[in-house]
Amino acid sequence: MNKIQSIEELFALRDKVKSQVRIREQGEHIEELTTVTVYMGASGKEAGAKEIFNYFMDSIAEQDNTDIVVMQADNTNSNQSEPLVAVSIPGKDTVLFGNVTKDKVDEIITKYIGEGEMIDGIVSLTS
Amino acid sequence: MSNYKIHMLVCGGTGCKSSDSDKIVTNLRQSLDDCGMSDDVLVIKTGCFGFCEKGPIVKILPDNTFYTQVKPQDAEEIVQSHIVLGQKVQRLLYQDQNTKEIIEDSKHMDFYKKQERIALRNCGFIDPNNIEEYIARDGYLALADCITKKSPQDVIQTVKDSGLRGRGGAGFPTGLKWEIGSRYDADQKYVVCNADEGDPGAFMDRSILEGDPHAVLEAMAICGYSTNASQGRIYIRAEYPLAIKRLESAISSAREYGLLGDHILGTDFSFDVSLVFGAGAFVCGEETALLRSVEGGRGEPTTKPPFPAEKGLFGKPTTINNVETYANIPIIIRNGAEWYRSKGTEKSTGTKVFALAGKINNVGLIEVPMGTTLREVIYDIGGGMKDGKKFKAVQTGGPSGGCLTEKDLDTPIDFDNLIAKGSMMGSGGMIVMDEDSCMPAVAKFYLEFTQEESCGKCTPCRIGTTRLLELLDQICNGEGTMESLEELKRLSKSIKETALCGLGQTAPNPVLSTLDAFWDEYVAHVVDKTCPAGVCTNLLSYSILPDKCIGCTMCSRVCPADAISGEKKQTHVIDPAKCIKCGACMETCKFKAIIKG
Repeated sequence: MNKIQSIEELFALRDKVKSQVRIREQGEHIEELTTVTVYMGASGKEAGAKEIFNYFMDSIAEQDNTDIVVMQADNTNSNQSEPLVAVSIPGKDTVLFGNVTKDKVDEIITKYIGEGEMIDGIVSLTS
Repeated sequence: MSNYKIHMLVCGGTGCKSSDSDKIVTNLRQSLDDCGMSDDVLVIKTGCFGFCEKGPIVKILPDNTFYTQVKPQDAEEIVQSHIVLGQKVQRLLYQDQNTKEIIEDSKHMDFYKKQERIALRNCGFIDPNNIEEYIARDGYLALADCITKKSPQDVIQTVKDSGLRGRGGAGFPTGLKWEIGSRYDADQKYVVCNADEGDPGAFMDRSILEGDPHAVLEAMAICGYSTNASQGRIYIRAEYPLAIKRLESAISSAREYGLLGDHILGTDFSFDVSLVFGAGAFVCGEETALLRSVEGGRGEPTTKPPFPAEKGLFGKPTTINNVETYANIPIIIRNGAEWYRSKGTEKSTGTKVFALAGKINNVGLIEVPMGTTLREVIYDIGGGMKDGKKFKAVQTGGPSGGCLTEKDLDTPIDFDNLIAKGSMMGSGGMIVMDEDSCMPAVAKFYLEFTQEESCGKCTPCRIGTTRLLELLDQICNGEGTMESLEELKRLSKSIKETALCGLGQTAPNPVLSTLDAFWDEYVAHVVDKTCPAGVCTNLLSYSILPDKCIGCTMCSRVCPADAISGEKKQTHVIDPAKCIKCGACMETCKFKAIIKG
């Protein structure tokens, strides 16, 4: 490591390493964030939930979006319509999307979360 | 860009480390490797989470899952179940003592709900050995801001405006101390960090140094800039090996990154820090004794004035602050004095770290805003008294403090309220006592400590604490009289007025405060010759209730002094002349046939 020579260099380093602690910082104020929960039980994984989970993570990281946190959960009661993704925006009811594809992930992030628009693919509303 | 999807934080503080948390880290990494998840999950060893009662702790993020009392062999199950299947390991989750409810995440645990972590903000959050994690948390930005954009006077003004008071004991305003320190000119000036944490049961400074060492280094450099000092010394006791290791690693990476040393960030400001090890004498927490010890002399206090700000280390102007005080500085500079002032009370701003210990359910390290009441600390955060016993008193301020009782439970904790109640903040030790504690014996315990730790330089402390201890000994042995109590009071007052340093001046506090709050208990010892709490062995006698004893012989078999006799199936008898009052018989009796009184 070369010595940091100026305040600008320090800021640049901070911005570069910031993502190392992002997941932890999200945990600190998780109640203010939109959470996306991907159901990754055995049947979910069979239906491709793991890929969807990774795709969510990568898309969010790519967009440098710190307001969305992605988590995993185990089986749901139903194994219909998997992969299943629950999206919970603070102050709104949690919404469950079924048969989620990568295209649907993009739509969820930009339309449903980003613009607050209702979109197709909702299988149920939970509280 | 970090691609980890889940972070697993494992407590690497001294407490959890001694319960094998290193092995937990190794096993977690191994299990992740085995199932090909090591690129998805990051395992980090952090500083103390504070919830030592339930350690070792493993916390999983972002969902804040909080696993307690984890053993190395649990690692595989955590990985297989939580990470691979997404199923939380129920048996390792925290269960609330009172409601028996299982709580999955730390956000909903009573222990954390009322806490506000400022000095501890990075403890249990970052890897203390990785300077980049500290920088990711805006570390060293406060220092950079000061040395490139602010004048030393501006920095001092911010610290003054924040209302921060010294966290080491006396609560002297930190900004004022820095301002006085900046007034003296010399060819060499020093900044010293007092890490000689000596109160029995206190471990806040150790935890900060183990969990967030860079915060202290950054603050010392800021203090150096404000007071025009280029040299820093951290006086730390050699019995804190882990804190020393983490500090050494932090100092060397800060130098490597150009954040300590010559021309920091390309400016004209140069500052470096080195460690000095203390041998663990309590008196070396007193600033003048500490400075003499750093110089290589005997750790004995010297008279003030001159104050260290004028003539400190090697006779040069020195600004000396405690670890926790420093830990608050970087965030005050970053967030501003107003932000800090908005927390706590008017005269005691900000938060305070306490080491919660004693007969309480949740032992550990907590940080709460000043002005939080003792009741909130003991019952909400601390989870109430252990085994459903009754609260009797809480000792704050360690051996220099005093005890507070039931009537003080709703007092907001701040510097001035505690002093008004005859105790003090001290460094933040808080020892909770239940109905089984004998207050004269508690006072004796603290006096044994201060008498042993007295450096012997001044007579009031050397002879005075010895005499106090003798009097307390007599009282606890049933040899005291009402005159002994008067003598205790008189002597305590004269030691307070005449001792040379803080150690002696505060040593009688536990005596005076227990005399004040538990006068009847002292009287019982000297007049009735009884110990109401059943602690002082000389005042106790054990006896067997004939109607309950079935003659099972258990008690006579466990008695180490052969003091119990009796035939099988016959009532047994204790010989008081032989009885050493160890209580072994009472513990072993299944029929509650043995009583003490």
